[in-house]
Amino acid sequence: MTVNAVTEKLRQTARDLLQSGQVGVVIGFEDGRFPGQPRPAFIRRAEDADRLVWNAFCGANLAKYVLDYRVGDGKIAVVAKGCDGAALARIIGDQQFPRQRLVVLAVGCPGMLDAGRVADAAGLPDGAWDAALAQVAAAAEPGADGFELNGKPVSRSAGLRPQCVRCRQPNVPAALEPDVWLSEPAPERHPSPDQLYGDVAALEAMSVEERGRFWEEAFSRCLRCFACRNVCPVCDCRECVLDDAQTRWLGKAVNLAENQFFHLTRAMHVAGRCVGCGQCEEACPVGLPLTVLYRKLSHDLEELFGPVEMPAPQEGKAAAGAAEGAAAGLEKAEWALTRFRLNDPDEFD
Amino acid sequence: MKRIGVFICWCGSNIAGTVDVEKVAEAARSMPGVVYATDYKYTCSEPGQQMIKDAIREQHLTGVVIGSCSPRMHEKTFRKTVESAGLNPYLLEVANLREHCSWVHPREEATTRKAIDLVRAAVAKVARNHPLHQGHIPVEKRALVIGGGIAGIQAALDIAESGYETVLVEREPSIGGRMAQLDKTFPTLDCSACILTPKMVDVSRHDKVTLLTYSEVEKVEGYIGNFTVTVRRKAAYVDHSKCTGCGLCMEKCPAKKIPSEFEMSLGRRTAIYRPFPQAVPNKPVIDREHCLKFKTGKCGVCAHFCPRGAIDYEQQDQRVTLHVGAIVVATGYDLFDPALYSEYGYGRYPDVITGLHFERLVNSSGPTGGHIVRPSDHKEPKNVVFIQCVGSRDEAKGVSYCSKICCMYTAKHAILLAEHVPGAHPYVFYMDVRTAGKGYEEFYKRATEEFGATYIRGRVSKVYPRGDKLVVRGEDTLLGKPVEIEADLVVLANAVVARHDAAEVARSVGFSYDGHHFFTEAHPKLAPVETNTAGVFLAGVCQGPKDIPETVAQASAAAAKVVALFSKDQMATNPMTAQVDPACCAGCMLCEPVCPYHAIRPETIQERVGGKAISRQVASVNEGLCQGCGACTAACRTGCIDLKGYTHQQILAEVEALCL
Amino acid sequence: MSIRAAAAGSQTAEAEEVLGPAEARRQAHQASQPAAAGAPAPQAWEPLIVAFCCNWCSYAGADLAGTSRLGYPPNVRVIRVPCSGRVNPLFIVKAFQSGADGVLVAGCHPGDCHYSTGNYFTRRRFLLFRRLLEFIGVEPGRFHARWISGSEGPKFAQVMTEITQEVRRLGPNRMLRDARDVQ
Ligand SMILES: Cc1cc2nc3c(=O)[nH]c(=O)nc-3n(C[C@H](O)[C@H](O)[C@H](O)COP(=O)(O)OP(=O)(O)OC[C@H]3O[C@@H](n4cnc5c(N)ncnc54)[C@H](O)[C@@H]3O)c2cc1C
Ligand code: SF4
Ligand code: SF4
Repeated sequence: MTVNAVTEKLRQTARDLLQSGQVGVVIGFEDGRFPGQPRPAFIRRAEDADRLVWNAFCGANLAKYVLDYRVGDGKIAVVAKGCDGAALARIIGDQQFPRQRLVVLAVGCPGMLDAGRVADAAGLPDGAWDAALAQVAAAAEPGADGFELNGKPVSRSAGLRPQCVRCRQPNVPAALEPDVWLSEPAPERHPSPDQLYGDVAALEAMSVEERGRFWEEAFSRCLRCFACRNVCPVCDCRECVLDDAQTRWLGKAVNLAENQFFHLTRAMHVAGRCVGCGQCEEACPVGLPLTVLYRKLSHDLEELFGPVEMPAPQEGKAAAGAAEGAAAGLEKAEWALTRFRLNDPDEFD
Repeated sequence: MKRIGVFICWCGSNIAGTVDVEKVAEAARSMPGVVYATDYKYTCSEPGQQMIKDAIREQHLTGVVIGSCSPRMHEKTFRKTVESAGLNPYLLEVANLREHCSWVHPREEATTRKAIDLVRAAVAKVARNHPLHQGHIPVEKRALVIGGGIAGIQAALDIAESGYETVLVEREPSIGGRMAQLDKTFPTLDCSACILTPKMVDVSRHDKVTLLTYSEVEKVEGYIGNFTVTVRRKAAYVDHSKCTGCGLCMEKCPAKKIPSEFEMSLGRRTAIYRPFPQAVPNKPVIDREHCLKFKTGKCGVCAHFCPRGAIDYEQQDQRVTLHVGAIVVATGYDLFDPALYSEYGYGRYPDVITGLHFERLVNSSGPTGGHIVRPSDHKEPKNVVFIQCVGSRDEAKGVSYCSKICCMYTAKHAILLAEHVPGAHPYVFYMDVRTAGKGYEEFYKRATEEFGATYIRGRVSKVYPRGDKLVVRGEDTLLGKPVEIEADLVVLANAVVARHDAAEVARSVGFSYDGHHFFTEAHPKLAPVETNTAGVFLAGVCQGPKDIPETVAQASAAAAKVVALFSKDQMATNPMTAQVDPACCAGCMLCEPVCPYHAIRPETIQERVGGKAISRQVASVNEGLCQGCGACTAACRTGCIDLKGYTHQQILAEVEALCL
Repeated sequence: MSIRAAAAGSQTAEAEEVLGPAEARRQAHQASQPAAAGAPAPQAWEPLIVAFCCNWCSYAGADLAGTSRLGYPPNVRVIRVPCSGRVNPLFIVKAFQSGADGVLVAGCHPGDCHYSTGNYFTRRRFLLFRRLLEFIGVEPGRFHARWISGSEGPKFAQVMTEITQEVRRLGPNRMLRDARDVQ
């Protein structure tokens, strides 16, 4: 089977990094059980580097996995699309992982595909996905604007994951200063306001009662499995307030009121910190439209207080090895809710 | 087991007249944890307090709720009561049944029901109270004063006079500041030097004061009561322990043409110099930039002539470490650059000068010996135009605020001009004349009535030369007519602005400044000399424009704060401070920027994870700095930082109890 | 079926579903009262307003309303906090959850914070939080933030009166409300 250029370079880089002992692990993707659904891979030995793949289905956000390596002082390498990069920057700014311990392998991301959507767009019958998708998956960037599948032209946008339609950051933030570029940086993306906030606006246009019903219906379906929180790369606390058994902010009962408490808490905590990777919605077993909530808040924050600054990580690798132990010297995260301006809007008189 | 006692006060008829107090006490008896509840006519009276003490002892109470007047009224009283019965004073909660209930609601069931709810909330809270203890931090009884203008001198003198050691750091070779440059001072026209010089001498001779001139504060660490300060003593190239200040070196120095900063470049100085004859200390320093020895390697005249062998070209900057308990910042001000108003021609026409130049021109020890002359041709000016508000109150080109002193010193200049130059005529262009201050309006009246100053309300549009005169063109807005004056000299009252390096000073000491870089007081009304950083105080114009009387008052106020702090060996800290649970804290430091007192800092802790010892960062609260606002607690996503006395659990319990 | 109708009709099972047994019982009881006793007007539902007040300004303002004997409805219950910046938005959710019909956060006017800057964070946080509440369906009049100084006793009384009226007009809150019987 042919191996695309990005995968080629990724494997080579991973092999070098592992062989030379520069990193203890490379976090990337490997083929999963089904084509079009690669899974995160944690490669520790140079000879396993060939398991790594890069293709148009590598949508999962890998940033959160670095938190599993908080303890220790070895370096780890991470493959980073735009949203992984944004999340890494957030994690570094939140002082949860020092930049010096990271080797960032950047990939320009033209938007990731969703296997289901691609199959639908190509009219693939339920059972016949695999072989066809395998073919799409093999190329890192199957056709700039589209590709052929099942004898049908499939436009790329038809297969994009919804969060990728909204993407404004196809590349890792410049401040992250990636160590290696595995591909060319992707061209800028400018989603329309409607793509970004169309669903938010639709809800805003409803009456407050209608909105209430909408969210009550949604939240009453929540199973409180915490999958959204668990995959969220900016939920980087060591302990979660929702698990605090002593104060018991969140009651144990799974009912609408507690579910609402849970989701309002999460919304306030990711407000202005959310990187839009959409992992929460993908993980939610009952399909709650969670990012609508988070996008609403990010939008309002920006409207009220100006653009939300990305955290600026420490100056490149210059300081590598300098700061030992605690993440001393790391730049601090900017969070709109822990800053203020004297002339912030005031609606409260 | 909680054993809570509830005491419902009638407050005579103040509460009992509206609220059914018996019913409230009755209801309290069935609240969770309550073992004793009663009502009493005046809980705050002697017998009332005795009753509470008895109940604490007899009923072995672990918590007390008093339903009475506002806690802002008697909380302290009742804390003492509870404490004297052997209970921790913080195991008390007061339900506000008077101000928040009986005084604002009619006598009806709903009011009693509300009273019961308020008591229930207090009971729910007190059940979650923990004993709290005041902490103590030792206080180093030595003060640092930064800046040796009148503000710094006054503050240092006041602190030293109270018996505490004070270090006064001044960056110039002499103390004195701007006031030393002034001639006479409004509103009494006493000579500036006559009132300042004795103070300069006093402070330098005071056995409790250490004067470090030609020095700058480089770094400040620590917190109230315990600051460690690094001061850089700039090399003077003169060993001041040997120098007697005879001045021979200055006489002999061949580099004589250097514009004197003190004289606003209207006079000259040598390369080895003291800024002015009455300088304190009266010992010279070598200005390396202009010194021929440093520039060319040749010269060495001063070393040759110095009878004490005090000249030392090899001298290096020195660093001194100080331990102090309090800091007074008194770094003063700079003046707005009037060249930014090109229409006035400052910088282009030598006879357009600023108020401070004028002070030097009229000063008898100034470059002209007190004769007011034009810088261009040394002729005595007759018509002098003063232009006020140059930069002040002009958001577009200058600063938005009023510089406060210019109206008064311009009136002063008008008077001085008329006094010094017979037949001279002062003209003043102004926007408004502001003379708030004792004797100020009268002073301004004298300028116009007695000394014949002509005040013209309006802006000057242009100043340009005509022959050897300057034409000042403007508009008299009261008459609505253009005016043109042929002037011999133009004096600009340029705005008072913060020191160019004010922000750096604020950052290195660690307190905040406003948009204009003036230093920010902790509270505009109630804490005007404190900063947000405990133990750091402000005096003088560094906090905002003010004249000498105000500066001195503020300096003494700052000194009083320092002395109050030093009057105790230890400082009691507020026990209701924030507290981090290090086991839960992720060390994200999102709480750090919200603390107005810089009380939260990262700290490294050791921990065992999976049998391995690791160190990691967590937040930690300096209890000496924390004022207990609780802002940090709402910033922390995990709730890992909590406020003692107002914990998450306590507040949540109150909420639930109220909503029952 | 509206909440009121459910209560008035003593459809206890149905009412319980919406209101929780305790609330349903209370309302059913109240609804049945006048008919049985032939008393005047039934004791109607009364709004419950929880007000978080900072110690230095708004709580002092409430005290001043007291010393000036400026009346306002007894529906308001004040919780004292050192600074409005201490108020975690989750407290507000908890209050609604526990049965509050309206919630107020009150602090010093921006610029006057006893701790200088606390209320600037309050302002940001609750500007956002109010939008969030409205977005998920909490009626605009239920959550308020106001600046009330220690000298504004009249304003305190007036704000409490206004908010109580507004919440009364909105009726009992059911959004975020814990439907279980809270004991
Ligand atoms: C033209 C004019 C006329 C005036 N006339 C009058 C008058 O008649 N009557 C009146 O009441 N007021 C008058 N004033 C106002 C008066 O000058 C001020 O009120 C007074 O000087 C303020 O004193 P200060 O100590 O705050 O500041 P300053 O006099 O500026 O003293 C500050 C001192 O701190 C030192 N310093 C600065 N930065 C540092 C640092 N980083 N480290 C160490 N030291 C530092 C400076 O060198 C200086 O010595 C006049 C002002 C002007 C401009
Ligand atoms: S309670 Fe206030 S003063 Fe204390 S650490 Fe927290 S933010 Fe700072
Ligand atoms: S107390 Fe909270 S906000 Fe502060 S560092 Fe710890 S986890 Fe972060």
